[in-house]
Amino acid sequence: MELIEDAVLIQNGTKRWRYDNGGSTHEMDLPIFSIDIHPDGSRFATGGQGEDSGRIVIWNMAPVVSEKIENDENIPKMLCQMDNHLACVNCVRWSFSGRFLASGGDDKLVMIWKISKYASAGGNTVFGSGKVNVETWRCATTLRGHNGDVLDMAWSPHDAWLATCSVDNTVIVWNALKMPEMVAVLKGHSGLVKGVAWDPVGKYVASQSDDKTLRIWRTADWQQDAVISEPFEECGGTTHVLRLSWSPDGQYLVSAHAMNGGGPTAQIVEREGWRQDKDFVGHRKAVTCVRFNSNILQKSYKSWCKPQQYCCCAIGSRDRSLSVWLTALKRPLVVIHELFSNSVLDLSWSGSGLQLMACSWDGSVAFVEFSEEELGKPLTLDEKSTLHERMYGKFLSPSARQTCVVETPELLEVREKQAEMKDPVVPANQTEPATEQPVTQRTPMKGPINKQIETRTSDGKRRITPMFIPPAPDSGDVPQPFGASGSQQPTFSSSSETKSRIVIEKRDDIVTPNVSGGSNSRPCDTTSAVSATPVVNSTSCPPTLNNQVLGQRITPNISDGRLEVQKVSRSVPPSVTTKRRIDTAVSVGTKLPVVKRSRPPVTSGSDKQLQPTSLPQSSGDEGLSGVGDVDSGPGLKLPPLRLQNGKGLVVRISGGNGLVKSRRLEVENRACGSSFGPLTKVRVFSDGCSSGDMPQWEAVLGYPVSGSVANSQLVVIACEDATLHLLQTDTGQRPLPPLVLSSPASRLALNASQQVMAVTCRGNLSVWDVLKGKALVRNESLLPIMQAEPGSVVTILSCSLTEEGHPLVSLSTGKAYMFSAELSSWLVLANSSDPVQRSSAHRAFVSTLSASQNTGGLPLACLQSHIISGVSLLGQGSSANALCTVTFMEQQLAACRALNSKQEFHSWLLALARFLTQEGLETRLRLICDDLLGPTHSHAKHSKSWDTSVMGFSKHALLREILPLIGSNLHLQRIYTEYSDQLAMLSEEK
Amino acid sequence: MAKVQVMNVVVLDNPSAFLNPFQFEITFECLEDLQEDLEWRIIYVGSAESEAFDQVLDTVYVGPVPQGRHMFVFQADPPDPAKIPIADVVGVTVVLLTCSYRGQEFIRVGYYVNNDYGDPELRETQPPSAPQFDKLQRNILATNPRVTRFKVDWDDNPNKHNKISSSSSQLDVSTTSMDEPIKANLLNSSTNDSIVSMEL
Repeated sequence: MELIEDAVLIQNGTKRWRYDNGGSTHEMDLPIFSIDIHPDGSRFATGGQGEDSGRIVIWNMAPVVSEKIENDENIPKMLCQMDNHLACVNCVRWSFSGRFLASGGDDKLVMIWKISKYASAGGNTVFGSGKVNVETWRCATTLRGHNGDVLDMAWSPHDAWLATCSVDNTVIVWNALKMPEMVAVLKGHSGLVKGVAWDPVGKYVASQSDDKTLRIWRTADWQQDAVISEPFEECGGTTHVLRLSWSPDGQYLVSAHAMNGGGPTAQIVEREGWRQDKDFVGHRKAVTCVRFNSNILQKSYKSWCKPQQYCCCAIGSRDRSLSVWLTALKRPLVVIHELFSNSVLDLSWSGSGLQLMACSWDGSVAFVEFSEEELGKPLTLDEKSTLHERMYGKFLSPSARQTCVVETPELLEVREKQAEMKDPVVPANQTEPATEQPVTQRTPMKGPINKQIETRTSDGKRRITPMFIPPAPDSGDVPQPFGASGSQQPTFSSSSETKSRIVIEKRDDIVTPNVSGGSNSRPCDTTSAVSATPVVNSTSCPPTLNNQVLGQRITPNISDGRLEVQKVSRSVPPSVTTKRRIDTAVSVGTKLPVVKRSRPPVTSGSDKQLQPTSLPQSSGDEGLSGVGDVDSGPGLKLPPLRLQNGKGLVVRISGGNGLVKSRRLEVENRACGSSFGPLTKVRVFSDGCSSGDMPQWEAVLGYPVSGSVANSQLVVIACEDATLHLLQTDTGQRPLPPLVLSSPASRLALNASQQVMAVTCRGNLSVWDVLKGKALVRNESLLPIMQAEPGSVVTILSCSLTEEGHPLVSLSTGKAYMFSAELSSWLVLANSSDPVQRSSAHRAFVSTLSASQNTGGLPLACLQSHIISGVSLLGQGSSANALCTVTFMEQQLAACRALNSKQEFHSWLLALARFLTQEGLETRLRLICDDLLGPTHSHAKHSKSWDTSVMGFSKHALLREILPLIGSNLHLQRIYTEYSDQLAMLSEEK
Repeated sequence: MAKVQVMNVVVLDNPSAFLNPFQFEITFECLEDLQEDLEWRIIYVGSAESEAFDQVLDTVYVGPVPQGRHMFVFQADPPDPAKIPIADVVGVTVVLLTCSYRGQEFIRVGYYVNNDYGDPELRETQPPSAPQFDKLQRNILATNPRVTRFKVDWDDNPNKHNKISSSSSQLDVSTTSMDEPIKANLLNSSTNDSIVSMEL
């Protein structure tokens, strides 16, 4: 063993590595509370006290290991210093993947760091200290949850969770895959929690506290599994930390400070029954930290025929010494006395297991290197996992989320099947990339990247939108091993150039600074901060242009609290396309609308969009005057149907079934004259025939046609005289005389069962069943659903008729309705502005049914696609979001039932089951299962209150589909077993 | 946790004529999108003797500030010569660059400034009795910024915000008291005037 005691370094500059850049070497030895070696051994991190903040430093490991590299001036020793914690950093821990560094401190915060590469712009120095950051680590997430200093942290195996413990007496388990989601808050300790450690197979997490207990928590339900207090009864709260550790084979948990017979020990707690009959004795003062080597070691001794496997553990103590133990030996492998001049505070083994580092209150770090002969040969990862499997059973998935053991063989089978199927619809927890950090949805452009933009506030101050420096794309996010080749150290430049490279663009806009509590500026709504982001011109406009912009300020009239907008006249030079914005806010307590002003885009003549045929156009000045008294009376005014050019239209009629060829309906207004007026000609051609050919049939109408719909059975023609003509597509015969509408038609719809819907200009809706010759809906008003806020206009986006003859209407308000004749009422089928839907995270759970299949079979999806715009932000995992998702899915199910959309009902039901399963919402899941299972007693068949089918699906069949989904969450395996057993029993009875 | 970290400040146009504007090119990093604008301020300490001679050269709002790294140039007019005590015109003083969020100052960067005549004759042999500002040279000791950081409430405790904004007058008091350490520094170094001039 080689102890490189002279490689002792101090966090603020080092005894041997004194940095000459900047010249401000601090000889104050501020305590280093934590140390952790990166899994690849290239770096190590220290955390502790900085001058006026907490401090994290990432160091290059190579100079510590090799003296030759240490003496090479070109190789940086310090890679990055982060002073972001407001107070002392008590713990730093690398994730197993090495991508993330977690830090926790006295400021109650946990920060997750990842490496980032910035474009050269911007300083890489630690501002004001003269130190150079060779690497840039940025805070990816901040975890706020503790109410007191965070003292210790631990990543769970496979980086699924991060456990943090605090002086607030709690341990918080964070979802490391979905930061900052909290998985559990472990409450039970009645004193400061000073250490936390995961069981290497992820079944338990242990914590040690000043309340003289060590507690073991189950990860299956986050409940306390055991409290161990006996070895700690005599302990006083004399240590800053109590970092306990679990052996890599999972067999032993070793505590920090315990007492046995009046002497300080490190208590060994055996996994088997949490027995506590062994301990590590010898330290003269309290044990502060224990850290197991992550390797299981192996050595062949001559006396034993079989190589023996054991673990290796380092113990640090307030007695300033360090001991290293092998579980195969009764005595310590080595003890280094007086390693530091103050308490040891943290220990870390390298991934190879041959290097050990320790840090101390005295502000220094020690490095110890072992040889393989001394420690033993580490098992390979495969050997280690085989050992784990042999000891703890097979773990189903490498994903550490599934850390439960399968209890029934059937479930194992189900799960294996699921894995084989590789269903495109996998539960969301499996689709997530294992180590990806949450991608916060942001606008890609955060600000101008080539200039700063200056505007003025109403009181004459400047407001600057700074130039955004985009980070270079992360290079795989995993820090590269820091080679001895060394990278170029950036030079600190305090250049005295007279001009900055930043282009300053001055604008004469009057803006309100986005500040609260300022002397004369009022807060404006937060959205303005976003909208204030200026449009980036690809060409920076010369400042002289601004002189041509004539702007007048809007003066807030503070006296009476009202906003007086003075006339604002602007002439913008045509070449400049800037979005201009004026917003003002006045007077205490009033929020004012933001006045937005933007130049309309310069439109060229070619911009006019062609309207599709038979789409209603907003009424022009001509027409309609003689037809109906549209303007008078209460109610709605909808644009009437109108032919595109007033002359005629062509409607394609698809064959319906394969036997009939497609046809073409042609309508021509004023096609021929008669002595009493012009006639309208209606002709149906089989597809492929030109207008000159012989039509299948033709007919004439005495009034101009305003619109038409047709399918393979029926042609519906609305005339301008507010009549509706129905003709059979095959023959042209009339099943009914013309129907009279209460006012001209605005919308028409038709379904395959020869039901016709018409919406009139006055907003009345009728549905007729042509075959049965009766009305399904009579002149129902659209007013209840189309009442607009004053000043706004509600328009119909789409109108259709379900196969059952229920009219569907989707509106520009983002809502969609169905009229139920049975209930004589409008039903809300979708509401895109509903906060419930917006905060629902259902998207991950809905199968991609709609994308792969014809939307014709999915009326609900079809309807909602009209109104739902944009993708809702993915839920950040609060409980309200889960509730919203469940509520929304249940709404969708009800809508599917109303629409009688079987396919969608099925898909939403499975989605709901999937979601409930993932969230572990057992009660609701049981409700669903109970209904699907029905009564289980022997008279079940005669039960009146329970239908065996729902929406045309056998309930039992549905349950059979849902159960495997439930099986995907091992925490719910009891439900799975319970229902599958009962289901099997019922089918046997049959 | 400080949401905004100043990464670097480059003093532009330095040394320069006394009557030229101050220019600082500031690079800062923001850890999370800020709800409100930052408020940057340049304060020229007219006299080490009294705060009464402090001149706020300019105040700018900087925003919106989304998460990420940003850069801007803060330019401010030179101090009003009429407001500087004649005895303090020539010699070492301080210029402060401060930044506040929600009215709370969280960083203060102090630079020593040496004002002296460019002309050796004016400097050494016969300093004019009345200051000739057009001949004065200003030299900012750009390599040695004194950075002081203060803990403030970033949007961590939303319920506290109202309290803070309503008691802005109190904050002003505390802001001025923060001047003390750097003033004290300044006094030490200006009495012992060899320190700064040597480094210059």
